[in-house]
Amino acid sequence: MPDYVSPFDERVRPAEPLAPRPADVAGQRVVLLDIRKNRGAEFLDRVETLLTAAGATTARVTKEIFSKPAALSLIDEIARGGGLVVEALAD
Amino acid sequence: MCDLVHLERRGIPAVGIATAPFADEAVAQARLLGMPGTTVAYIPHPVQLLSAAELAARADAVFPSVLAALTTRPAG
Amino acid sequence: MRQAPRANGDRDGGPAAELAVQGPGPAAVTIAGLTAGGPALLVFVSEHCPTSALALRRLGPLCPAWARAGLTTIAIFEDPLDVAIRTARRLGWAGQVAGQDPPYPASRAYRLSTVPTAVLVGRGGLLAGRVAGWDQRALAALLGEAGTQLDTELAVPSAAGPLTKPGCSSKAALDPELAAAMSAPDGTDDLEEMFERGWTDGLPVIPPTAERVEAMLGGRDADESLGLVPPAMGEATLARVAACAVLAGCRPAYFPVVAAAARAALDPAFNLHGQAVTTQPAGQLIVVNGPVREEIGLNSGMGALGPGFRANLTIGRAVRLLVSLTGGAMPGAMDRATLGQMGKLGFCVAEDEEGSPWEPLHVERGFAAGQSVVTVIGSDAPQSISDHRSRTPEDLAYVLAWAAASAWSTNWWPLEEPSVFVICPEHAEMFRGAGWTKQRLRRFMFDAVHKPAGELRRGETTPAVHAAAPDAVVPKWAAPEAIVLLVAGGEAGRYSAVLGPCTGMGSQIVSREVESRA
Repeated sequence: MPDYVSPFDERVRPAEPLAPRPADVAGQRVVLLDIRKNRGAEFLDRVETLLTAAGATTARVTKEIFSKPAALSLIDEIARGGGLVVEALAD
Repeated sequence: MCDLVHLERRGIPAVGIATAPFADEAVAQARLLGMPGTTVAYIPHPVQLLSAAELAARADAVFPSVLAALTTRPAG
Repeated sequence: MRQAPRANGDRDGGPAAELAVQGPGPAAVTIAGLTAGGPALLVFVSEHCPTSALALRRLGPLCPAWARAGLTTIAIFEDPLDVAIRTARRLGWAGQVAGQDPPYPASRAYRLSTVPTAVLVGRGGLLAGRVAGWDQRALAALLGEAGTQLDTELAVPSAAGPLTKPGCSSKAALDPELAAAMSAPDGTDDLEEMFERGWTDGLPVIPPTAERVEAMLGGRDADESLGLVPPAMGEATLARVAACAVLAGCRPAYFPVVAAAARAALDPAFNLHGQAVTTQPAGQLIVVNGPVREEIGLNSGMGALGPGFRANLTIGRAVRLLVSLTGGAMPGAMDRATLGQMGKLGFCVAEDEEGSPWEPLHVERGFAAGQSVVTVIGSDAPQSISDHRSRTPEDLAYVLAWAAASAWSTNWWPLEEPSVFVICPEHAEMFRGAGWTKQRLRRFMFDAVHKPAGELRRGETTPAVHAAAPDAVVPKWAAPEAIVLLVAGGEAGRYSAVLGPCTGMGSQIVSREVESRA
């Protein structure tokens, strides 16, 4: 993300709320978003195993290019499917 | 960070996993993006040269934090 | 053997360039290492390229036998290493794998324009031929050359399937920015990000990168504070004002005007707070006088109250972004205007001082003609005033004045707050010809608009009207000074305009000189 100068004074800006959380991952769809950095896919393999054992269904998605934020079209597509997201592995 | 905020705005709970040196940057970014509550879980650095078993162990260790970030169930 | 074009001067027999790639192990991947046991086949590929996938699928199964015969193979991806490894595995590539990050130094060193490109590096690390794209016959010939060096015959890809298939552009052959944009399907990420973050008034904005903001500041102190911007009370550091100016699309030359307008608007006497949160459609009209108008190309002629001129539009917009972003006065949130008006996108007007018969606004307000001054006035949207037929200054003045009779409210008389008349040149000419001063016109207009209190007692009206005797004369304005007169507009056409006030918050008109910098 390029270095932007924000027009907002963060000290007075009301923080945006996070999305509401479910009680448990069991029964949830979890998208594992791979940012394509080294060892990320392998790491997410293990996270996927753990999530499946916890009762979640999983889906794997790869970012188009690791050095930029995901295209909003990809974000929209993930969001349309609903569920939760784990993004990894930033190193 | 941007991705996590974009997802949260669309009602999707999201958590990032990063290595520990990323922490300061992530906190600053979250504030800049207007969503200081965004969650990132951390594993120790480095990861490049870990064996497969060591990498899996890192995932195991951070998994409770991932669950805590994505659900309302208490950690531990 | 078909060769790739040699425009870049790679010569067979010349030394193969050293590789700057990432291999899976800790040891570096080198030409010497690859050619230790015989020739090496470097297959440059890219994950997104279908022909690269074809090449890897067709050549992959041959790699073990080639390795036994002494030909080392390596697939060098224009992708991160982990992508390379997974892709290679998926396509059944059995040779070595390496990855490259932008700017793809190995691809550049080998002057690739296409992927896949197979490069044979023979004994002694010397180039022995290359094949661009998928070309079964040329590859067979290349492998023949490798076989000759090993004194054996190497298996070649079968002639099944397409014999030739063009490749894709190597990422190294692209302009780096173009390559990055191509890699991300959504090329307008940064513009969409501005919308995503809410750093906008609903129209696209220019992302305020550090470089752009620095250029806008032009060496001024980024931390200098102009005060707190209501209603959120975000601090208007010059950096944030500059960020708003960048977002708005201003050029750095406009910044002194933006800063002066911001200072004027933040003067407590202006009561920006009230204007920012009211249900009234209040916008902040910015009037610019003095030499700066011409210096930065502000329009005071045809279309003076409309679009088309960057300086007018972006200066007005920068100030409004300061109010709506830094000040948090977003429509639907803290900005409660019931209907609002388009002037809240930004409304910056330059006076036609040269064409005016009168002293300009800033001179009236005590500045020297040669000073550049910004004046801010809380006001409503313009209402057009047509008059094509009045033949006397009195008739014209009457028409102009009565057009404002319903400004703010039909019967809420008198008004303390200013109504701003923008007199077009043809109308101004009528007064010039008759020798009317500004004061004379103002006085006439003030006197012209009055009604008996009894006629104002319908619907919304003032306590004063209720209390007055029915035949008491009630003027539209509390004093002639409430009538502000500007001259602007195209030379042909007889349309003037009046902008009604923002009322009930004690807002004063405020002027600030524009700083001049050597």
